[in-house]
Amino acid sequence: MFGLMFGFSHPLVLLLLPLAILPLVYHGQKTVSYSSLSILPEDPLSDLANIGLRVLASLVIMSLVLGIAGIFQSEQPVDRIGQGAQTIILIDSSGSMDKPFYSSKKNKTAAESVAKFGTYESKGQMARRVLGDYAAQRKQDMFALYVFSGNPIKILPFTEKQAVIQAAISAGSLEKGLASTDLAAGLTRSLEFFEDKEFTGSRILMLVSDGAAKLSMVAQEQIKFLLQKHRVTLYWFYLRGYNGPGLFDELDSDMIEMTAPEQMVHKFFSETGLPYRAYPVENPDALNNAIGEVNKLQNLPIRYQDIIPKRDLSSWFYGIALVLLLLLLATKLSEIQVWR
Amino acid sequence: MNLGEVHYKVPWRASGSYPGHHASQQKGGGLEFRNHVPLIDAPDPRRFDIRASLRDPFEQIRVRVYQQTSSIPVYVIADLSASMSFQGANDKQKVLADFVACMSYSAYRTGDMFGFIGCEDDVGRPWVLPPTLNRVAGNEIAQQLYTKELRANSSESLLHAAEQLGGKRALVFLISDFHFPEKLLEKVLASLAYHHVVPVMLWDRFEYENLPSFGIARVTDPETNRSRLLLMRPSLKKRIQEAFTQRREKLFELFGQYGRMPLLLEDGFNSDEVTHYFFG
Repeated sequence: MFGLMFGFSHPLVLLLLPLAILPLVYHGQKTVSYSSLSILPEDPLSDLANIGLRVLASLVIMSLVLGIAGIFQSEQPVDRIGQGAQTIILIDSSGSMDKPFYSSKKNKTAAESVAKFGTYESKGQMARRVLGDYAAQRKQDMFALYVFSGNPIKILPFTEKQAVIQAAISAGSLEKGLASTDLAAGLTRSLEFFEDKEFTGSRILMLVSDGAAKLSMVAQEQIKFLLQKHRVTLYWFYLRGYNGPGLFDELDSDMIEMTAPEQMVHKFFSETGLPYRAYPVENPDALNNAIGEVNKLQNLPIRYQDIIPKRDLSSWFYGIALVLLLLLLATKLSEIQVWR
Repeated sequence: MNLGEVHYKVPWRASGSYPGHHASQQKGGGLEFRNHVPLIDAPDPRRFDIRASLRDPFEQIRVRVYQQTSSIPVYVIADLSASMSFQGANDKQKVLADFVACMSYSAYRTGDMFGFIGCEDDVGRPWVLPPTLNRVAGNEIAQQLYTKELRANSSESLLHAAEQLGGKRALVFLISDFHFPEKLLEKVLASLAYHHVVPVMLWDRFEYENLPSFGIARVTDPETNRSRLLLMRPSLKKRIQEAFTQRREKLFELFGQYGRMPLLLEDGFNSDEVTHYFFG
């Protein structure tokens, strides 16, 4: 699998490669005339030096030609073993995410019941911060990122490169959410990331949402189908709004439809019979704990392919040529010009 | 440039009738008494010997006969293979040319004929100067030798030198570095057996003594054009010196087998050194 593939940016230069035979044919040294070689005693060390110098010169020419030809190691897929999972983070970027967390304070005053802008860290910001920490802890995981509100936006395909992941996660924290929340589209589209991918480890869909959305029957079927097909474990971090009802608050069905569609969504997910866990999160600490729990749960090794980008090797070859040339220079300097 | 003069002698009697400096087999006007003969046989009354005539039981008139001194041909047979162009402390080629110049002059001064045979090509005729009393002929050869480009890739042509020597016994200087196979040397020495051969070994101290101690040298053999890398270091230097010592001993032994005493010139040409060889 780990084949060393080489390429050249100027392959025509390789036509010069036969020049490397030259030193083997002709020594190119200054000679001193001697009356008779037949009297000189045999000297294996000298013969060895003779061959060595020729090979050295040949190698110099070869590495110079390879350097000029711009040799590079072509990009290549590498199998890596990661710990944990392939995680899709699906972040709700709707306007409601820009609002603060649920306040458990009872009997709020009128002024208190509306959170004052600028005095709080919004649900979205908090979620991104905690997710960023989570991603930073799991360096060997692969993450993909999708945000959705009206239309789902593909942010990042699967990668394990931390810098990219962190940048992608923090990119959405500008707080300019739209009003609509199309959870169904977000789920179906983000699950496309798993399409045609090898099943190499556990797969997680982290839905970070405050969930004010309804799922149609068709959408429900499709989501269920996709979750099944890709064998995805769904974690829903339900960020409870400032004044919102929880997932598990007992309400009658009319009220649910009116004020808490998330309870219906939760009900649907629970009834699919697929691995699913909901973490109703009411404050930042709870979010931390919930993610910490996932962290413990998902620690199975995964296998995946990474691509090492092409690497320019010409400077290496120039370096080799330089070292060898210095060696040759040393021998040149120690050459006897006059037989004295 | 004055190269000086070489004095030489040979321990055998010259056969030529041309008067010269060397003891001869010829009767004639010399100082060396040979024998008494009747006046009839040597009709020269100036050599009349009274006591010998009185002593003669047959009462014949006896005259003294003397032996003349004759000249001998002096040859230089030069190995002109490419290895002789080696330049170390001295330029071998220059030493060779100096030798030829000085020997031709010395032969002229001694009253001997000087001949030169340059062996450079394996197939063609050697470069020959037939023995001559001409004073400048040898010098002319020497002048050419100073600048000549030596290209021959073997010393094989030395084998043909003997064919160019005349029938008279001659003093032959065989100049070479003798960096060629012993088999060839034996054949050459055998082919020159009739003559008085002085092998002149032209060696240079930079070939074996004053070697660099450290460094990388690519040495080429001018004859084969092959090159070899030498990683000079004291141990290799010592081994080269040992190799040359062995080579010298081997050559001396070979020359000895043919009754020749080699003259080793390793510090350039010096006429006194050559004279010293003859008058030890």
